[in-house]
Amino acid sequence: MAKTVLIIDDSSSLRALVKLSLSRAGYAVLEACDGKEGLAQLEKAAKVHLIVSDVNMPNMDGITFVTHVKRHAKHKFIPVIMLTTEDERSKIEQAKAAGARAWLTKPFNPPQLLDAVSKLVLA
Amino acid sequence: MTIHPRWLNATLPALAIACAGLPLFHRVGALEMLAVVGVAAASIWAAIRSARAAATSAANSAADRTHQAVDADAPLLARYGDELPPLLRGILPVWREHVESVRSQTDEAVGELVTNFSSITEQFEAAGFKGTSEAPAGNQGTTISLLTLCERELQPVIASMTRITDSKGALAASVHELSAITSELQTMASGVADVAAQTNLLAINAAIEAARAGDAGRGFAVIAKEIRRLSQTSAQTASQITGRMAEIVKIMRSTSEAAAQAATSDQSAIELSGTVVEDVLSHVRELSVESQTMLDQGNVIRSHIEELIVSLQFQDRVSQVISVIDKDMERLRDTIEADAALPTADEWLVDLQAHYTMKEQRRSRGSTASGFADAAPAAVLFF
Repeated sequence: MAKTVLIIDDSSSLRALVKLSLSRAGYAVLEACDGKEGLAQLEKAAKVHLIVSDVNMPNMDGITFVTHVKRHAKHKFIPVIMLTTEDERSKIEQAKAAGARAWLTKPFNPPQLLDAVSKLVLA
Repeated sequence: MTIHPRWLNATLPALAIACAGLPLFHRVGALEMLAVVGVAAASIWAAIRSARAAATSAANSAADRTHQAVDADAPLLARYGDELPPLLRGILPVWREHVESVRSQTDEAVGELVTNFSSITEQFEAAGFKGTSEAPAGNQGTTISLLTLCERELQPVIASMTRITDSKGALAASVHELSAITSELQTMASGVADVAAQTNLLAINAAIEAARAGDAGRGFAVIAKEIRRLSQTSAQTASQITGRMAEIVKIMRSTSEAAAQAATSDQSAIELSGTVVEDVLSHVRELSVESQTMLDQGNVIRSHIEELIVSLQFQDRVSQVISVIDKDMERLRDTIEADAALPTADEWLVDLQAHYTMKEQRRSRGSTASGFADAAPAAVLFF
């Protein structure tokens, strides 16, 4: 059965690109346009194996989203990859402290993303 | 409220450069609006520069004459100070609308592009052009597995059939040997019949001699009679054995012939099977070569797809730049609306730069190169 990945990004084109990369590798993909919608998707979905989230988003940013996820009894074990144009060291440290498992700066390379996803899904 | 020309002199170029620094704008219809915003900002900046140059020249002349310090911007303040706030109040919302329109239209357009591209990719993969980094159980994997399976499973079957035929040959040889031995037994039975006939003849002669002897030969006549009866019984038994042996020899011969015929048929079947297996393996090998070609072509396509996915992410980066510009215009509008004192240009730029997220934004200050072409994928940082 295909593993499910939740993609959270306010850019629909970026979501489409991540979805294209992951679905070609056999992953099922769910989408959300910000952290708030991401939390709602987690509640609706039967099972999410991994989350790929942007950092700078309206309504709820990626780091706040990770903080919420890690406090949730059911979802706290889901690994989160931050995928963002942001490259500030302080933001990376914030994401790490919040509980994210990896940081990938855009533009992403599909094999690189797939490698990170498969490593964390199998971990 | 007065807007100091020095402040516009610093912020308007930043806006113009940021807009002009997105090279793809010239190729995308929707983005032309943003280019217009950039041109408008540049025009205002040029007008201010021109007026400032004239004022500076006049001030310098006056300074030469009077040797007094002159504020070069003083005439500009007098000329534009009252006009700029209402101008910016009027055009900033329009600029922002254009910027947002550009952002949303490019996002939608790239999204549609990716969706269509995704469909094309699926069709390529359905046609068998799939690279090696995909799921291992692709068509190529199936073909190669089939070849291995054929070679591994079919060759032993042929060997096994050959072994069975060899066993049948050994059985036929044994039957043939048994037939020869039976023939010998038949000859021996015939010998026994001959012995019985001779014995019978001797018994007849003995009976004749016993009759001549009269009473003295009466006992011998009884013995001769019994010997004759035994010889006749032996002759009958030998005859029965010979008959039976003839039947056995006949059965043996037909069995041997059937076995020989079966061996010939088996040999033909094995040879035919071997030919069919070789044909199948040959076809599968050809299929394997074609699959490898498709695999190689699939890898080339996959590589191009990956490059395209990286390239199409320009929209997300453009969107980041536009968002910062939009927020800055909003900040300018709010400042004007609040009728608050403006910060210095340096202070304003420090705040603007605090919202930068990418290296390209930090580099683009004072440069017309966008830097987007240099943006390359970075390594994954695992925590």
